[in-house]
Amino acid sequence: MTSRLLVIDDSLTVRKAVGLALKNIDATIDYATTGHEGLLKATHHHGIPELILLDFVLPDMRGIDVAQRLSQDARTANVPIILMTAKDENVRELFKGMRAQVDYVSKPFSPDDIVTRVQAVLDKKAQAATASLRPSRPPAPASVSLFSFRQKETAAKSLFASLRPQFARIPDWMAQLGANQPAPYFARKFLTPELVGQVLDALVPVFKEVLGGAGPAEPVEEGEGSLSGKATGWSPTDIVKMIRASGQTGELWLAAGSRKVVAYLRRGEVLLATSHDPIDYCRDAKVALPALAADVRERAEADQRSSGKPFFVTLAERGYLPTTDLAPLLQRQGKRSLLDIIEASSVRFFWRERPTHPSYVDAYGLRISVDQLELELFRRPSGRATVEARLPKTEAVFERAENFSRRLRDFELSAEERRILSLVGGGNSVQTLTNRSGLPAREAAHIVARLLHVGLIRERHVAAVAAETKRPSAVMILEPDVEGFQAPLTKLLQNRAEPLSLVAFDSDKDIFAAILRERPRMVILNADAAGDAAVRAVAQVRKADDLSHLAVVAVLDTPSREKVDELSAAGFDSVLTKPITYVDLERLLVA
Amino acid sequence: MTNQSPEESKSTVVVASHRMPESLLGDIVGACEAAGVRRFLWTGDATAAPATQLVSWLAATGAPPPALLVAWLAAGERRVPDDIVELMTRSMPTISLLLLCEEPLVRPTVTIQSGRVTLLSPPLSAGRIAARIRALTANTVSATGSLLGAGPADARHGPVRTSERQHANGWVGAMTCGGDTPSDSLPLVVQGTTEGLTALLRVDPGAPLLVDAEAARVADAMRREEPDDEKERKLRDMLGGSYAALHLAPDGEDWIVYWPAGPEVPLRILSPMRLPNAYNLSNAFGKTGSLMMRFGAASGDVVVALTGASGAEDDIAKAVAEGGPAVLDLLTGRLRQGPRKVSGIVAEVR
Repeated sequence: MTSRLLVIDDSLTVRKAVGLALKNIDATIDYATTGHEGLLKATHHHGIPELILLDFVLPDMRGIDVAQRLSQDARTANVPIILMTAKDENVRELFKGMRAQVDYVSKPFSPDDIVTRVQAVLDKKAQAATASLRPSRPPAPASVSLFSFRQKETAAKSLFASLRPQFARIPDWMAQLGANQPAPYFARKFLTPELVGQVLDALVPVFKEVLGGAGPAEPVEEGEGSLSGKATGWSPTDIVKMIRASGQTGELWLAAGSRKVVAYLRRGEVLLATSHDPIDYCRDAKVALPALAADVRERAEADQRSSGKPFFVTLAERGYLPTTDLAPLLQRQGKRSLLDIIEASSVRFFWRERPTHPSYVDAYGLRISVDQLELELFRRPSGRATVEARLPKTEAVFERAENFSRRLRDFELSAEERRILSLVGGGNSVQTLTNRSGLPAREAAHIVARLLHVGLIRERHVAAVAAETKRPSAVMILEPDVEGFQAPLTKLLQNRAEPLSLVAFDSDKDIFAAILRERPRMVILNADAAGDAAVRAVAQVRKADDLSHLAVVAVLDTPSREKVDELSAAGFDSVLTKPITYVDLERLLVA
Repeated sequence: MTNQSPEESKSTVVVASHRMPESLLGDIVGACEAAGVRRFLWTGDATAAPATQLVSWLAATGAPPPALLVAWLAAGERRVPDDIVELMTRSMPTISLLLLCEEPLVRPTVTIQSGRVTLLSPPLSAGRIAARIRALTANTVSATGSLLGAGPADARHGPVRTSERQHANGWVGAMTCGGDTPSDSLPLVVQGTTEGLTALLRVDPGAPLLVDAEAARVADAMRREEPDDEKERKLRDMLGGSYAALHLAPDGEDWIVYWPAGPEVPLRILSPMRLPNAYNLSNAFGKTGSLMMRFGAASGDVVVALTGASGAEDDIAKAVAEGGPAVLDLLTGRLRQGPRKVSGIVAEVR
């Protein structure tokens, strides 16, 4: 029997490589590019996979999070996982205690690596199935119908209207079969509400998969490529992101109560958004309007009420406003309108694919970043309340998300957010971020939570942070310090992403004993001052197996080629002449 | 030859003011004034061809072609913004870029793209920005040619005369004070893309002046790939105890110093990325007995060679935080307050 495998990896190269490697294995392979997609495909109607090949770093979640979610679902809890990772022991540590069998393959891998591991898992499963006396019973298919008969009838008519031109092109093969009726007759005959109902019901899992939640709460409306529903299970920004992912062009209508906003999207990006309420739309516009005759104002307002054409556009077209300032003004007001409506508790939406937009959208549209919208929502009082419930712990450690640089371009961060962001990394906890940013603790935690929610940063696992903090954190130095060597070095070491402290040797006596006590990351010895003691110490260090990580640097006051050769031969990792460059030390510290 | 007004002879700097915090923009405007350049604020544009509009607008003002673009890079950003790239690659293919980075870099300044892009690490003070703008708008050598001699002296400062030049890998400022004869001219600077940068400082006041051809021969000897012993012997023959020579290799990787002045005349190397931050190299010459020394150059290095005391010795280490031009200003400022006979060179690696 053909096995079903699921590969969850955002890299097309890896997906292709796995597919190629497994082409000779009797298995159908399903692919997912994100953690959420993977979780859906692991449980969808094609059946539970027999094996999941899982990447550890995914765009939306980590491999461990996917594995934990799988283990919480009884259907997938025992599905074996092969983790594909470039990380090493730290990652393996995270998967200890998983119910499912977990194997590992290190990236980059060879086809043989994958085939061997996959085959081993499948063989093991086959043996287990043969040994089992109790035949397994497939779960009964879920019977779900979200649509009423009236809705199905409407949809059938709509589908028929859409497909009619296509049916008309069907060759007259039916006539050749002896029937005299034209093709549309057959189409109408076959496209019954019952059949369309079955089609729609079959589409439910697809809706679930695409939307990441429940299917649409309202029937599909008329129009090409349309989609509508109530944004209760997800935010309207999620809908925009979904459209962005598909790169579609069209209009997204959002409605809450009597308020209505339309966003025009091109290739998935919001170009312009406008409200149907001119009063609301023009609020806080900070634009100097000339004295307007009543009929001019009324006309512009009426335009906006009826078609959504912004008040300012009508005025600009009539020469009352300079067109040069229009694009940023519309961007600002559109962003505010979107934020206001997204903030509403229940938003109805309607998406319609349309290849063209009103001319003012093309002329004055300036991209509105949906990521920025999300961030601004979190800055608002309602968003702050959402964040408040999920503030990070003071000891939590964060790092920049994997696609950080690319994503950052979509944000306009505040000075405080930038300050926090520049400090994230290097094992800095929320407490450290608070201390070093000088921001109040609550504000710093809010900012961290905001940055986390919009995906600019991610939390680091406690085990990985703990492993890192075990690394030696000191540099030891023996230097007379006549010219001011230690103070600037202390500052440079403290300003590293991973700060280090500088510890001075008490004297040139028992250098090795002091090294054993302190166990530093690096030792710097002024060879002119310490003389033979430095050479003796480095010889002892080189004999000690447990100090193999230690970098030992000699510093000379005066250049001398002979001394450099002599000290290098004695075992120093590097011999530097004053004034040394810090970059040379840093290179050794990170090596 | 056309006579240019002082305003017209100023270099032009474009400041990409969109995306920039207002306080920083204020500092940049101040820095442009301090650096003596004409500045134009570019506020970006909503249309598809903003760079083209900027070029035609600048042409309409009659300003000389801009030498430098100043832009800002927010914390965490790792890419030069697209509109800046567009401007630099298509519309102004010779303009240099000074990118003010909000996030600390590995060094105070980082130079990439063969010196065309300079990244400045925080703190982004008006003084540091002004020094960078000066270093990046000083007289530029053409891609293949070289400049020889003292260059156009700035006569604004009474008894103190200065000249500044830039190079793909560095900047050099020459100064002299207290002289009233041709023999008290500015230190000689020889530079070019193939020669690197060589500055010659007369340390023996009684020595005859070097002619340009002789200076060019010294620069050639400095640049030439040969054993250091051989190089030192040639320099001794050419310069003896009359002139000191400072050379930054064409690739910006090495300093070579010929220093016959002895340990009593200080030759300092300063950098926040060196340990110690300030170091008197002439002591090392005294200990080795050699007249020539070669050592690795690093971005941010500032070498200060003076023929005598300037009265600003204690403050040089502070001024160096803002860069070579700030050190030159400090020295010339003190000499204007209390003139004395001294010449000097301040050289900086980008």
